[in-house]
Parts: sequence; structure tokens; C-alpha cells
Amino acid sequence: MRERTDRTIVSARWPRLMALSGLVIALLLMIGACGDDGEGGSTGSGDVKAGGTLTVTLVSENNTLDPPITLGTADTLITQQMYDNLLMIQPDLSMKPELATSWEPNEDLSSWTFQLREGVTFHNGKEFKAEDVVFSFNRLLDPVIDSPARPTFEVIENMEIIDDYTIRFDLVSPSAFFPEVLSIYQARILPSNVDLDTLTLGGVGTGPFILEEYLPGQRTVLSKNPDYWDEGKPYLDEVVFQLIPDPSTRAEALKSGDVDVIYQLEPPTAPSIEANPGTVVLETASSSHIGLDLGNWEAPFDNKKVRQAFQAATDREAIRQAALFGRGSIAYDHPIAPNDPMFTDECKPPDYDPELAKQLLAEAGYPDGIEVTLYTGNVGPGMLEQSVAFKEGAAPAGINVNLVQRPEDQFWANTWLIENFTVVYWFGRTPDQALSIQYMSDSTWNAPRYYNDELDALIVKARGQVDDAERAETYKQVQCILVEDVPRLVTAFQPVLYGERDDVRGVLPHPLGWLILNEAWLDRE
Amino acid sequence: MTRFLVRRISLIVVTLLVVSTAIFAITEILPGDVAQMVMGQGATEQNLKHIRETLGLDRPAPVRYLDWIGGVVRGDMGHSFVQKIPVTEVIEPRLANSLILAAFAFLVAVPSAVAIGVWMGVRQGSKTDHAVSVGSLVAISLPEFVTGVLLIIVFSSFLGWLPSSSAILPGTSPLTRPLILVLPTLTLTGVLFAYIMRMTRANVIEVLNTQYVRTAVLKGLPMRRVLLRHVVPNAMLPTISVIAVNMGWMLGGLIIVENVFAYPGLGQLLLTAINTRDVPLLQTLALIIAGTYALSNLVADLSYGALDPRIRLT
Amino acid sequence: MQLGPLDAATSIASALLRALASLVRLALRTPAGRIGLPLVVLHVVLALFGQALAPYPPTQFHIEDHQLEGPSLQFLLGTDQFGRDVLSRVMSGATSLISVAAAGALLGIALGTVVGMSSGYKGGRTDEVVMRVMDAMMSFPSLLIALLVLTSLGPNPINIAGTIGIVFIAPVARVMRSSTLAVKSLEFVDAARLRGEPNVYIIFREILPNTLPVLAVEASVRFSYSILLVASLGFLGLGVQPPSSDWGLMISESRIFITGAPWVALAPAAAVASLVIGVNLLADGIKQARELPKREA
Repeated sequence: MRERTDRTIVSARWPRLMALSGLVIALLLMIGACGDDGEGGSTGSGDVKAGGTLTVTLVSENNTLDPPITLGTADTLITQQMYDNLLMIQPDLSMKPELATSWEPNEDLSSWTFQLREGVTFHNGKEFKAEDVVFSFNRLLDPVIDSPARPTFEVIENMEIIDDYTIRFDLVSPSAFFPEVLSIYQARILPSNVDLDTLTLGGVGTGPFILEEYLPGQRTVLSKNPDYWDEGKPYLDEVVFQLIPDPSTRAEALKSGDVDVIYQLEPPTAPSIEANPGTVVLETASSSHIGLDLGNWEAPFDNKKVRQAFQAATDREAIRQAALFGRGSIAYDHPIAPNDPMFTDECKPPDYDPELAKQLLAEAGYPDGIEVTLYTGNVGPGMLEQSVAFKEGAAPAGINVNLVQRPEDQFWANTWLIENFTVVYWFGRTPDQALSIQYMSDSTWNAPRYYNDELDALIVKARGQVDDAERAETYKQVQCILVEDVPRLVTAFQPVLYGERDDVRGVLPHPLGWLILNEAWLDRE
Repeated sequence: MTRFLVRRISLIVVTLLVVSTAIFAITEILPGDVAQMVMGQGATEQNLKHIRETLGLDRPAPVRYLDWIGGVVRGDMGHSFVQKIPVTEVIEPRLANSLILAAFAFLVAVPSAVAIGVWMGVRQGSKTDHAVSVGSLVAISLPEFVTGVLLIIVFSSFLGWLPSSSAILPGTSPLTRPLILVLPTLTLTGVLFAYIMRMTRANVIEVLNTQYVRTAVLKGLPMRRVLLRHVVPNAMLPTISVIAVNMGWMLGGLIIVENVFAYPGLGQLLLTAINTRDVPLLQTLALIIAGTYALSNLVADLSYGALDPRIRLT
Repeated sequence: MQLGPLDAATSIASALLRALASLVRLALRTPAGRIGLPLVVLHVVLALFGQALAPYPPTQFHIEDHQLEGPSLQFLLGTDQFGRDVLSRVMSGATSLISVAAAGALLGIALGTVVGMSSGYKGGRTDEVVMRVMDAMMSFPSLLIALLVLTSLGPNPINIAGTIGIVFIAPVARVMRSSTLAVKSLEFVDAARLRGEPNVYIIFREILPNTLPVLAVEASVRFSYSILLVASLGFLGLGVQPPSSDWGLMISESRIFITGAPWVALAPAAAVASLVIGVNLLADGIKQARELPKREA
């Protein structure tokens, strides 16, 4: 049995980051998956009941349904139902063929040939052929459209239509992971005869559901595609996405049966959903993580001893308990999760130790303690709780933390990346992607402004290493550097939680934050 | 009377103008960049400039104020920054919900408060009277969020009879699920009931002490008849004004109660507008609340004059 | 004789406190006062010494093993989402609420008194204009003003007290104006005027002492409104900020767990309730003791 690799989680808060999270999923799935996804949501083979309406909560507003430029979760959840990709990564991280039936690389992995599914029609009646794949990827690669996923797909040098149902992608450089990247939400397949003006507020796909009503900021209704290529599916007649921005309102709506699925449940509301008869919480691990950014560019955090003092003064268990209600796992000041094969426990921060922190502070020139201002607020799940827990844990070490709350817009617009001590959270990503975005010297989101050539080189080196053991060794060095240098504090990894009615079947929390409803059904009359 | 009306109404118009300026000025200095808010993190400077232009944020404040006020007069409140639909469309269903809640609270509070007020007035000084007095003082004292939370604890947490949240999906009417209205109505009713009850009681006592009532009693008229014929109608006059005043006052209560129960009315919308810096929505809501408040005060004054001939309105 | 605004404020405050003290003695003769006073005293003691008397520091975590735990011998009122002792938090929450509410009320009373008395004393055009402005201010629900102002300026104790002070100017000014009108035609005021005393002296040394009973009643009413406002703002998230143990904030934070852990909300709710009831009963007692007509709305 092999370890599963649960990673990316996407959430609505931060569209741009999410877009990037899709970029290098290719590196994500080195290993297949196993393990369970919690009770309740089994596909329930055998006595499937067809029909009914499934209502799912959305947390954020919609922006556009045009696949290459979709940003927010709300958009991707809807396009997921309207369109198909060539293949789709399932909640168990296996790859399921969609519009491609099989695929095969050449010897040096520089060219991939896909067999396409025959007899598939788009919602507008057009038959699906290789030309649609070319059309869709050309849009993705079009600089005018400027898809956030374009850099990812620039690996495609040439697309060759061999016949209507065979297509070959020639790549700029060899990649063992090319198929996985085709699963991301920007890479949905559109018909080549589509009216481009309709894509923002509508769209025509081959997906299991057809868009009926789209009211951004309120709700979206999709109805069953009766001609879906996957015989007998989908089971549901209708899917409704309902925007409910307030977490406790979402919880109440689930309890009262107004909605069937809370997509991305907050840990604090989970216990009441678990306790409530008729509702369940499904959970899967991810590498989404929370932490505190230290401004390495100025005092006091330009002093490594101070950062190490903060590291020792971080009560990670308390933070996990407070922010995640005991769910998830603690983190070791780097973004590689314990369930990741690249994780090492050879380097880890000291256990919570205020005395050690005090001593380090004294060595750093703060024998009488230190006063800092931590910028925080209701800017993400568990952010405020993390801050309160950190403040309390740091106090015995002589670290006096003033909490300053900022509204969410102000926080991301002019606090994070600017103030030298802020909360932060990140969506789940592969080690490479997370490290590249958060720590590379030239990354915009290197919030601590931590510049380490050695680390940069290691991150790049790992990308080229095909052998898992070799790459694990490189990542071990990376993790040890981050634990030693403490550019930022990474405190805990969050799980992906879905709240569901107990008669919902086949809606599983996806480590990447996706929502696949092809096999969802309702065990009710 | 006409002169009074004209004066009062023009005063209201002036007040609303002042209020609207104040609202505009306050929302003007709200921290946070609306354009940034609309575009989200990662917007380029060009995007931001574009959005400022489309929203008209690049024009000077007085121009935008006149523009806004002009729109308001024509019934055009602008578009919600966040939901991107006309503010009136955002507000309409919420307004209906708030009115439903307010109506329920009045329907429950007013008749019972008047009845009990009369009864306590008649039985002034009795043990029941003292108990009700203290009880109503307690009800007046408690902030709505405390009453609401206490009711939730009793009826939802312990007894499990009623839902702890009154959230409903947009597009559905609270009337389809009357149970959710019970606790918010009770919470709002508490203070309202206490005020009206105390006023009625005080007025009844006052009227009971008047010469004509004493005469009526001395003439040997049955007490019930004295009450219905003489006492209650006279005692009701000031009470009606209190009720009108309370209409405006209840708006403050609605803000709190709706947030305690996550009830989708204007009060909850107001906090959402504040938290999301949805300026056009916030301005309209503040104007509606201030306007209703001013109007109900006027109604109170008018009713006072209309019902009591001794008061001359000049 | 010259009186600066500061002297005026201190003289008003000290005179007011003396008047209140004598009224409280009177109030103790009424049942309302006899219940209200101990409650108020209890809360004042909590405000002064609550934090010292509390069994645990109000922000101390017991999160590993006592998160959202019901009442027990160890934690008499249970623990909250951080495993903090609810009793200790409630005990130390009185300080900020009472001090901010008192500061706001005092500010409003001071400003309102100055405005109301000057306006009433001057009379004529000035009075007319000032009173119309007061009318305009009162046509704005106080909670709405407070929400808007605090959203703009940011919620901190000074802004909260300041906002309450401003909101209270109009109602206090109205009351003080009418009692000034009643006093200013009395003989001793005329006498002072004939002596050539400056207006400021006449207002504060001759008229004010005679309006103190009215002012004292108004003060107690304002204090109770002020507590309501501060607590409500805390509940709406525009009061003092976490991790403070503000009661309104505690209730709003506990809202999400209320079905599973009602004790977290119950304790601060009871605390707010007993404080406001105490202040109102005392105010009622004072009113009864003075045999003043009942205030309406």
C-alpha cells in the first residue's frame, strides 16, 4: 500500500493564488492514492437512486464562467459540471478518463498521444472531435486571453490532429506529468463553434449538467444532461449552487435541509454538524496551511535569533486546537505536509519552549522581552484564532503581541506584504509549487522578503529530479534550511471539510478543492 | 395645522438632506479602497484605474454627492459594488423581510401591552402590578442581543423546540417557515411590550384620577363600562404616540436582532454593507433607516396633536 | 471670574457626583433602589478588582484538554473555544465596558449640559438654531451613527466613548435647556445679573446647582443607555477587539457554538443583564425618590 498524497485545497478567498495553485499540478501526483475518504459519502454501488435536486452552498461571488480565465472557487465549481476535461483527477487522486479514453507518451516523454472519446456531443449538438481540443488549448495559450494557466501550458510546442479522435501533443521538454495538468479547471474542453460572447455568463460543454440559470451573487441552476456520454450518469436531475456568505447561516441551512452540501466547511462549525442528526462531516487531508509571516527585511525579524525565539515560542498544538479545532496537523515552518512522501521529520523546530525562546531573545539583544504588533483579522478561516493563540503562547517567553485587526480587503490590499508581522494562509499545493510561490527570491508572494540563493537552487534542482529518492533528499535539505532560518512560521495544515446531509452519496471532499458530481445521488424518496 | 405640517415636513426634508450629507461624508472617509475591493487581490494598477473610472470614483466628492442625491430623488440608488445589481433590487426582498418581522412584533406587542397595561393600571399597587412593573423594567433594560441569546439558549440549546438561527435562503419568504420568526419576534417584542405597557398603565392611572371618571364611578356606573367608555379611550391617546415613536426606535432593535438570528433583513444587510464596504448599498440603507426614523417621529407628533385637542400645533 | 471649560467640566462632574450620592441615599428607600444599588456596587467592584479576584488570568488557555468544556469544579462556568475560563473572563470584562460607557456618558452629559444651558440661558435666535440642530441630531438613530462613525474611524475605546458622547449631546441638551429655562427667571439669577456677574459664572455657579437633581436623573439614564450601546457595539464587532474579555464580544464570539456550548454565551449575557438591570433599577429608584414625573421614551 502506498501513501496517498493529499494536497491542494482551493478556496474562494483569494482567486489569484488559487489560479496559480493549478499551475503545476503535474508534479503533484507522483503516486497513486489509497485510503478512505471518511464515512458516509460512498458511491454506494448497487441500489443507486436517480433523480432529485442537489443544493450546494457557494461561499463567494461568481466572476466569469469562461474556463481559461476562471478565478474564484464559485466559477470553477460550476464549470466543473458544465464541461469535461480530457481527464479528471478524482478525490482519491486517481486519474479518470473523460473526453480522452487513453493516453500514451513516446519514449522520452516529449510527446503524448491521446485517444479521444467517440460519440460525444456538446450541449449545442456539435459532435466532439480533436478540433475542439485544439481550439480549447489555443484559447488557453492565447496571450490576449491571458489565462493564468498559460505559463503551465506553454510546455506545449505543437498539437497534431492525427484523426478526428486522436491528437498528439509535442512538448518543449520531456514531462512525465503532462496528463495530470490537463485536469485543471482552466483546461475545460469547449466546442470550436462556440459563440465566444456567451462564455462569460454561460457556456456550452459536454459535461454532465447543462447551465439553466446563472445569477452571479445569488444562485446557479444546472439540469441533467440527458445525452451524457457516461451511460446512466449523472444520477441527479438538477444541481443548485446557492450563495450563502455567512458560515453559521450555511451550517443552519444544512441542518434544516435547505442545502445538501456545504462545500468547504469551517472547523468551528463542524462539531455542530457532526452532532446534528441527519448531517455528517467528511474530511480529507490537504497541504493547505496557516502561519505567520515575519518581515525578514527589518528589525526585529532581520535577526535570525529573534525568528528562532518566535519559533520556540509558537505553541503549535494550541494553534491547531484553536484555529482548526484539533483537526489537521501541526506544521514545521515549511509547507510540506507530514503525509507527503517528500516530508522529513529529521529537521523540525523545537517543541514549544518559552524558556528557550527567552534565552534566544536575550542572545538577540532583547533580555527584557520584546513587543510586536501582529496584523490579523477575519481574513481567512482560523486566522483570528491563530493570532490569539500565538499571543497567549508567546507571552511567557517575554513576547508581548499587540493584535491589530484589519478588514479583509484592507488586509490583503495594504497590510500583508507590507507590515512585518502578519497572519497568512495558503491553499494546498505541491511542494514545488508552494516553495516556488512562497520562498523563491523572485516571487511576488515571498512576503518575508527572504532571499537565499542556496534555497532557490535547491528548489530548481528538485524540479529536474525524476527519481523520488533523490528529490526527497533535495527537499530534505530545503526543509532543514527553512526550519533553521525560520523565514516565516508555518503552524498547521488544514483539512478539507465538506458538510453533507447523510443521504447524500458520492460527493467526496477533494484534496484539490474540486467538486465532482458525476456520480452523486440522493438516497431519499 | 397646515402650517405645522408644512413646517414639520420641510424640517424633515432639511434633516434628510443633512443626514444624507453626513452619510455621504462618513462613507467617503471609510478606510479601504473600493476598487481594490471590487477587483480583489492581484489586480493590476491598470485594472484599478479602469474600475475607478467605471464606478466614477475618480470624480470629485461634491460631484458624486450631487449625482447620488439626484439619483436618489429619481429612485435610482445606484448599483451595489459587490452584487453588481441595482441597490433597489438588493434591498427589496430584505425590506420585505424586515417589515414582516416588525409587523409580527407589533401585532404581538401592542394588543397584549395595552391590555395588560390597563389591567395593571386598574390594579395599581397590587402584588401583580409590582411584579409586572419590575418585569417590564427588566425587559426594557436588556439589550436585544442579550434577550435574543438567552431565548436561543432556552428554546434552542436546552429545549430544542425552535431553531437557533432564522436564516433562510434568498428568494424564500420567512412566512413559509413561521417557526424561525418566533424567537426574533419575541426578542423585539420584549422591549416594545414593556414600553407600551408602562405607558398605558401610567395613563390609565392618570385618567382614573380625573374628575369625570370619579364622577362616573360615583354615579354607580359599572366599572367595566367606565373603563371601556372613559378610561381606555382617553388613556390610549398618549399611548398611540408612544407606539409611533417606537416604530422608529425599533429600527435600532432590528439591526441587532437580525444579526443575532442571522435573519436576512435590512439590519443584517447593513452590517454586510459595512463589512464589504459596499458604499452605494450602505448609503441607501442609512438613508432608509434615518428617513423612517424621522418619519415615525413626525407621525408621533402629529398623532399627539390630532388625538388630543388640548395640544395646539403651531 | 474666569472659568475654563476644564474647570467647568470638573466642577460639573464633582457636583454631579455629590448630587448623585445624596440621591442614591434617597433611592435606597425605594424597593427598586434597594435591588439596584447592590447590583451596581457588585459591578463596580468587579470593574475595579474583577481581574485580581478571578481564578485564572482571563486570557489563559487550557486548550489541550478543556476546549469548550461545560461548567465543572475546576471551571465554574465552563471554558470557551480557547479553553479559557469563562468565569474569569466575565469577571474581568466589567472594567472596559463600565469605563468606556461611563466615559461616553460623562462626555455626553458635559457637552450636552454646556450646550443646553447656554442655549436656554441665551434664548432667542441662538436658542432656536441650536435646538433645531439638536432636533436634526436626534432624527438619526444613535446605533446607526455609532456604526457609521466607528466603521470610518476604527473601533477603539476612545472613539467609542467619543461617539457616545456626541450622540448624547442632543438628548441631554434638551433636558438641560428646559430646566435652565425654569431656573433662569428666578430672583437670584436676576440678582447675579444685576451684580454684573459674567454669563459663564451665572450659568455654572447660579443655575447649574439648581438643576443638579434633574441632571443626576438624566445622568443615571444616560449611563444605562451608554452601557446598552457599548455592549451592543461589542456584539456587532465594533467594540473593543479580541482577545479582550468584553461581554458583547464574548457573546458574539460564542454565537457559533451556542447550541453545543451555551455556557459560553450564558455567562456574559447574565453579566450584561445584571449590570443594566441594576443601573436601571437604581435610576428608577432615584427618579421615584425625587418624585419626578416619569420620563417618556
